[in-house]
Formats: sequence, C-alpha cells, structure tokens
Amino acid sequence: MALIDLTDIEHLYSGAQKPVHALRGVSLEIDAGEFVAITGASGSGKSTLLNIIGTLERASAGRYLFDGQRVEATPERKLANLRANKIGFVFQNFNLLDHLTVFDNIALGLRYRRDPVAGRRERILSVLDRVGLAHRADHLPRQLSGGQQQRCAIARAIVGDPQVVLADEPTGNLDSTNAGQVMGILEDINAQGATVIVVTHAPSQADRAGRIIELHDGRVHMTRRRLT
Amino acid sequence: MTGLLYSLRGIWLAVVRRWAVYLLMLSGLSMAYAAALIIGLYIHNELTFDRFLPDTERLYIAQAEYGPSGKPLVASDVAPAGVARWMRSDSRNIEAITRLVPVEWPLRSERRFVKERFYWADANFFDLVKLPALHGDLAHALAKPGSIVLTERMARQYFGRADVVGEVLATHDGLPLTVTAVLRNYPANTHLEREIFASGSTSYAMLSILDQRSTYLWPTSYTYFRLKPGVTKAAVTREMSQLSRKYWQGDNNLPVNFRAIPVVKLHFEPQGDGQMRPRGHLNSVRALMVVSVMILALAAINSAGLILAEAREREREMALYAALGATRFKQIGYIMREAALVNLASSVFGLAVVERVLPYVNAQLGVSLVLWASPFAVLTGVMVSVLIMSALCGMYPAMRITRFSQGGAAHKGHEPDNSINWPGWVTAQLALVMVLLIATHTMSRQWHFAMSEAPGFNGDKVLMVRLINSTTVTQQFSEAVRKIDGIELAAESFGVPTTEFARPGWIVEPSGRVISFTRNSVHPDFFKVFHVPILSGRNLSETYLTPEVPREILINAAASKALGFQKPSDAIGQIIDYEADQTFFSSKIVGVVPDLRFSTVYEPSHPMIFDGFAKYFTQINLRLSRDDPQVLNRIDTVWNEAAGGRVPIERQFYRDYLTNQYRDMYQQLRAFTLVSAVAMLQSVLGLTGLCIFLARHQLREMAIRRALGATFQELLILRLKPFLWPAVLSCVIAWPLAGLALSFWLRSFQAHIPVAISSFLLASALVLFVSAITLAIHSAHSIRCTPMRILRQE
Ligand SMILES: Nc1ncnc2c1ncn2[C@@H]1O[C@H](COP(=O)(O)OP(=O)(O)OP(=O)(O)O)[C@@H](O)[C@H]1O
Ligand SMILES: [Mg+2]
Repeated sequence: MALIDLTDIEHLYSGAQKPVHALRGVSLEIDAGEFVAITGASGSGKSTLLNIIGTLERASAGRYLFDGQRVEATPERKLANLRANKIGFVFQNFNLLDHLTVFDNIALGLRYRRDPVAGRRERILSVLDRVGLAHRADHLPRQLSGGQQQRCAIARAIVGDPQVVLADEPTGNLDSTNAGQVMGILEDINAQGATVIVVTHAPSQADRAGRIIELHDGRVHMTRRRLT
Repeated sequence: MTGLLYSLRGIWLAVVRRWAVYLLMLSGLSMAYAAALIIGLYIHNELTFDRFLPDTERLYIAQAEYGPSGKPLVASDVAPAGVARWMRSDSRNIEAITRLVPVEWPLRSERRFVKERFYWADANFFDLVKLPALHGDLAHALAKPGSIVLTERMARQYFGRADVVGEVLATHDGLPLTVTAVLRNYPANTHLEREIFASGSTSYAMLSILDQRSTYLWPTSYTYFRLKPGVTKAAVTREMSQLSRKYWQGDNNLPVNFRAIPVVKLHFEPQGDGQMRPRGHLNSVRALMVVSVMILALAAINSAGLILAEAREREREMALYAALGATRFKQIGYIMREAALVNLASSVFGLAVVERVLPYVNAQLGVSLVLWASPFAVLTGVMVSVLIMSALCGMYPAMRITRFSQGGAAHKGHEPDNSINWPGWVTAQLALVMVLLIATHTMSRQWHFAMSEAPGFNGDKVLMVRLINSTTVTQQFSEAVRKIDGIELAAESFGVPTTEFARPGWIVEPSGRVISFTRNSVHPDFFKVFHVPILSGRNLSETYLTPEVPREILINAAASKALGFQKPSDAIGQIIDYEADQTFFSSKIVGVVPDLRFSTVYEPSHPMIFDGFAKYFTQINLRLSRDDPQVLNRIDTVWNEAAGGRVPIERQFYRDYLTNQYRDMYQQLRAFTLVSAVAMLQSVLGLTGLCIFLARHQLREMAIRRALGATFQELLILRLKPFLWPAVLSCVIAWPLAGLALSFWLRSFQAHIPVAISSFLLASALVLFVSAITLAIHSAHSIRCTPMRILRQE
C-alpha cells in the first residue's frame, strides 16, 4: 500500500473575487522511500498539491489516504499530531523564527511531538552536525547566509526523523552552490529511508529524483521515472 | 488643494482596506469622547454651583458651630435669627445682612393646592442674592407684609402663565399672599432648593415672630451677609461670636463659633446640619477629572497601538513614498493627518452620543446637565481635546513607522519588531479598570450600608405622615388611621426618625463631665413600628402631656456606655438627672435599645434618650402590611376628613426620605459606575486592538508552528501566556492603590463599612475574566484563520 494515496483531488480557492480551480482531479500514489520531484509552470498548482499532501490545507474534493488514514475524516488536532510526528516541511523562504537561535529553531521541530524530552539535545546537535551548522547553533537567523538559513530549515524538518519531507522550491532563493548542497542533504535523507517530495523548476534538480511529476493547469500532465 | 484631496482619498482607501481597525478606533475614541464630555459637563455643573449669581465676591453665608466644649463641633447652615439682628445694629464689618427661614405651608391657587416648601425672606434678600427678575421690581418686592415672589416655573404651576404680578396665593385659612415679582428660572446647580420667597415681615411669618421675641434663639435662619470692602473673613467671624455672647439670653445651646462661607463655595463645604441641598464632594470631582483624562489617554494609546498594528504594511507604504521623494516630515504629516481625521470623526460621534444619552444620564445622576448651554465653550473644549488626542494617537506610531523608510524599501530582512512595551500597557490598563471597579463596588456597599444597616432599624414600608398644629385634626386622624386595613401598627413621634428637630440635652456629672445626648419623644409602639428590639428591660408604658414628668425613659446602648454602665442591664432602674429643652429632669431608665442612627452617616451618632412626651408629636409613623396604593388612598381620605380639606396631607415613606438624604452619595456612585463601565469597555477595545496587533505580528510564526504540528490549543496557550504576568501585576498595583484611596474616602464618613477583600477579589475576577474572554475569542479566531499561504510568500 502506498504511503501517500491521492484520488481525484480537486482544490478550489474561493477567497478571491473569482474562484480559482487550482487542482482539477489529481490522482497520485507515492510509496514510502520514494524521491519525487513535482514540476510545472507557475500557477499550475504545485504548491497547492504539496500543501494538501502536507495536510496544511484540505482538498475541496477527492480522497486522500496518508499511511492508510483518511485525511478528510481526520480532525484538525490529529492532523497537527501527524505533522508533528511524520511530516517535515522545507520552504522556499526558509520560514525561520527571527527571535530564536538556530538551535531553538531546530528544537521547534521537536516541540510539538509527544515523545520524551530526554535526548532531544543530542538529536538537535547531531542534525546540526549533519547540515554543517554546528558552529552556528547560537546565532540568530539574520546572522546567517541564505544557504545556511535553508540548511537550518532542513535541520528543523528532519530533526524528528519524519516519514515524509516536503520541500517547496527549497533552492529557489539560493545560488547554485548552495542549491547543490541543499539537494545533497535531501538525497541523504532519502537514502536513509525518508520519503522526499520536492517542488522545483530546475530540470537539473528534478533529474536527481526517482520520479518526476509534471503538473499542468491543475492536472497531472506527465509522470516520468528515472531508469535505474 | 489637490494635494489635500489626494491625501484624503488616500486615507479613504486606507479606511476601506482596514475597516475593522478603523471601526475599533472610531468606537473606542467616540466612547471616550462621549464619556469625557459627560463627565466634563458633570464636573462643570458641580464646580459652577451658584456661579450664575452676580456680585458674589463679598457675599457669605454664616455657618454656626454648636457643641459642648472639648467635643468636636457640629456645623449647621442654620443660625438663630437673632444673630442677624445684632449684626445689623452693632457690626462694623458688614455692609448688609439678610435671612431666609424655610417653611412648609399649604399654598393654594385655582390650579394647584399643595403643602409648599418656600422661604420667609428679609425685604433686602434680593439686594444681596441678586436673582434676576422676569416681571416686577425686586428692590421693593418683599417690602410689604403679605407679598410673595416666585419663579416663572412656579408661576406656571400655580397660574398657568408667567406674568402673575398682582395675583394672590392663599395659605392657612385663606390668608392672602400677593405676588409682587416673578423671578427668572434659575439653574438647578444652586444651593437654593426652593423657588418661592414670601415677605418675612408678614405678621404671621416665623421670621417676624422670631424678631419680636428676643429670647427665641433656636437655629432657624439661613443668614447671608455682604462684607464691607477690605474686611477679612476672620474679622467678621470673631465679631459674630462676640456679639452673640453679648446678646445671648437663651440656654447654653449657644453657637460657639461662626464660619463665613462664600456663597459660591458653599457647595463644597463639608456636610453640616440644615443644608438646603446635599453638598458636593471635591475629592470625588477631582477623582472623576483624573479618571476622565485617563479614559481619553487610554483610548488614545489604544488607537496608537492600532495604528502600529498596521506598522508593517505602513512601513512599505512609507518606504514607497520615500522612494517617490517624500520627506520624512511629509510622511509623518500623512499619518498625523489621518489620526486627526479619525479623532475629529470620533468627537462628532461622541457629541451625537452625548446628545442621545444625556437625558438618561441626567435621570441616573439626578442632575440636569445641558450639552449646548454654552456651545462655544463645548466646541472649544472638544477641539482642544481633538488636537491633543490626535498628537497622542499619531505621533509615536508616525515616528516608528517612518523610522526606516529613508533607508529604502528593501531594508534587508527587516521585520517590524514587537518591542513595543505592550505588557506594561496592558498592566496599566487592567490596573486602572480594577481600581475603578473596586472603588465602585465599595461605594455601592457604603451606599447600601447607609440605606439599610446604618439606621439600625427597619424603616421599609413605614409611611411618615406629618401632623399639624391642631389637636382635633391630629386626634381624629390618629384614631381613624389606626383602623385602616393594611396598616399594621402606628406610632407618633417628635422629629424622629428624621433629623428635623435634633433636641440636645446634657447630663452634668458630679465630676463636672458633660455627657451630651439627644432627646427623643415617641409613642411606645415606635420601636415596634421600626422593628427595634429592646436590648434590656422593658418598653415605655405610656405617653404623657405634661413636660415635667418623664417618669420613665429608654436609653440607647451608646448612652448606656457613656453613662459608664458595663452592660445594658446595669442601667435598668437607675435614675438620672439631665437638662433638655430648657428643663431639668430626673428620670428612671426602664430599658435599653440598640444604637439607632437618625442622622446621616456623615455625622456622628449620639447617645439618645427616649421618653413618651406626647405634646409636640410632629409625625405619625405607619407600618403598612402590604404594598397597596389602595391603602395610601384610604390614608389620604382619612386625612382629608380629619383636616376638613384645609391642609393637604404631607406624607413620605421613610425609604424615600433616606434616598433623598443620600442623593449625593448615590450621584457619586452612579458617576463612578459610568466611568468604570466606560473604562472597562475601553480596555476590552484596547485588548481587541492588541489581539489584532499580535495576530498581524505573529501571523508567520503561528503558521510555521502550525506546519510543525502545533495544535490549536498549543497555539492559543502560546498567544495567551504573555498576558499572565500583566494580569498578576495589575492586581499587585491596583490593590494597594485602591485600598489607599478608598480608606481615605471612607474616612470622610462617621459611620462606614470596612474595606472588604471581597471588593478586590470581585473586581479583579471580573476584569480578568472579561479580559481573558476577549483575548481568547480574538486569539482563537485569528489562530483558526491563520492563512497557511503566508508560508509561501515573502
Ligand atoms: N490563497 C489563494 N487564493 C486564491 N487563489 C490562489 C491561492 N493560492 C493559490 N492560488 C491560485 O491557485 C493556482 C495554483 O497556485 P499554486 O501556488 O499552487 O501554483 P504553483 O504551481 O505553486 O506556482 P508557482 O510556481 O508560481 O509557485 C494559481 O492560479 C494561484 O493564483
Ligand atoms: Mg509555488
């Protein structure tokens, strides 16, 4: 059974003057351990899809099973737990909290989990090491470079060993060197068993994924698998 | 001009975009303007008592002070009529002197027949107290005996029109009083509570009777005098004391001292006996003044907070203007103009609100405030406040918002910081509301205490009917009224339980120590009518008519203590010698009753002696067994039968009498209730604004935390936790402040409740509960509506 199972997902943004049909029936299965890239033109619905997968938004219609659990029927509180324990997010604009240090920002990734507090420090230090920020633990985000900030954000996403890491254009604000580093870390995580889903515009990055899903106008236009 | 139009358009667009914020600002500010205006009018009303009278610089009222030596003196606005006579003949300091003696007599015209409350006045009264005339010549209006002067209002009541010079009012047995002048209606904020003045030289007027008998020296007269230029108050006071000692022929109830009180300051003089109107309380007025300024400041600062809530958006806007070449000065001007416009609009709303609610406020406070009495002053006041308030609202946000704009729009990674000291502000705001609520609660407790516990007897459902100076009427009425179904019990009394006739008495002990007390004469059933238990011994057994033989008396607990008895029961059977009403008595104590209070809580309560001397009973007290207008009708019928329709009945429930006694306290209570309610609403609006501010500033943080798996509850707690300290701190600040202020206030009473911890707990609980609800509702809403899309946006 697939870890993420979407069937006929539709999404309608009704807030604006004219409703926008962002997703028009997306069906998709992603297995545990996959590395998936989502591509597509601007406005094709990539972020919307990623947010629905991450349970940040609920689909307007369709069926979504996460690890066998029906997301539509799950109350918000349970979804929050799901996010805290099983999903990690990485954003294009990092979304770190300005008034917290690198260490505390990463600690936030564990803050809302139910598991014991003991051992958290060690875990944080070890992810810091893994993303190469050990010497910056006490710095504030604004004292870091863009690449360092994004690595901090990735560390926050993976500190809890999530089953799924969702990254929405994680390299969009970075130069190619930093972008390469970030993708490298994501590949690492994937190698250790996490499912990684990345939204990206860059074909070079998409090619590193095991599967590429291209969206067009709210529909899955094409799915390509890398030949291994 | 186009520039201004352009900026107005800009402001309008801003209003449309951020209507919720503007609505909050407008409602908060309008409410503050309205409240401040109402309180301002009230304060103005209090501070301008009698100021409408012209030429009052040298016009004084003589307050007499009585009491045995060594004891605190009791001040009274009424002095013996003789004092004025002696001053007139002997004084070197006084230019003119005049008197009023209050009288309650029936007055009859074709339209109206009531027991009227008016004054006997000396002929020169209007020379000193220059009330303006509408018709007739006031200089000679009271010269002839049998002349009478009334206000236009009264003229309309009696005759249905204003120009009534020459008309006649009939009093007792058709004795005529001819109208010689009509006064312009005077404002309600004067010490003169009555609106009719009859010539004191009329042969049957109390004033002329008092002037004919030099030994009639009981305190009856309000004495006004005008000093010669350059004379000090002290000089004339000394002179008055000297003259009364020289001429005094009465008993030892001699005014020991006189105080000259400027007529225009009379309203804020301390409480005394026999005042025409309840006095104002300067400290309350001051407190209200401070509070209304604070309410305005509260609203201004809350609005500043709301403008700051928009800071981030505004900074972008300002940065854009800067990029387009606007100087910082211009940008500040833009924000200030907006603040000024909002304030102007709010003040207009505020005025409209005041116009609407003023009648209600007047009814509640028992005053007659008028908004447009002097439009120019009101408008000037409002405009000045708008200016100050605009500066308060706009300056700080303007400085902050434009702070970075000169550095360019792309000021790297800059977020408007949250370093505004909002917890401090919340603390101050909550503390203020708490202090006000504690004060209001305590005032309300003191008022209830004064109304129900302080008297020490139960006067509910007791109707007091005034008896008249006619034995036949009195007898017939007393007998018939007792038979009415619906009247449980009746008992006559002399003066009590009101304080109309305080009859002082003295016991001179062998040691020379003087124990002063008041003598009260009552029917034995008096105690049953007022549900007063006999503490020890028994009740009086009878009434009697000859003054020399008060065979048996009751005393109250205070008297028992003053006489040195350990327990009330020790007093039973003792014989005491004392002097009262210019007679020496030797009486046996047969019973002791608890301490009763016939005076107000402002005055000390005295030891008392009760006897059954029935000769001068002034009233009959009827305990009704049910609330039934029928019973009142029957009482009226019985009265009219007894009095033959010649004298109208004068009746009043004790409860109403008491309510009237404490009008001033009730007014203060209402005023404070009003300001506390407004302050409370202000703080709710302020907290709402703060929630908007926090919601804006923590939007991204909340979204991030949500993405990381924070539940709704966790986010709510995160949002509310910073309010915990301000809540605790506000109590820590408010409690001692309120405690101090209130113990100071309570000390102005001779009898008062203690400051109760329950007031503090209740007020704090209410404030914190309302704040918590406000915060929780708004925070919950904003957290629930956190748009996750913000995570995708820069
Ligand atoms: N909150 C919203 N309200 C209304 N419409 C929205 C909202 N968010 C997105 N849209 C619209 O939905 C469509 C899909 O948006 P989405 O952000 O998913 O696109 P995207 O593929 O991520 O684009 P990009 O590559 O530019 O990030 C777009 O047309 C967008 O304008
Ligand atoms: Mg996108």
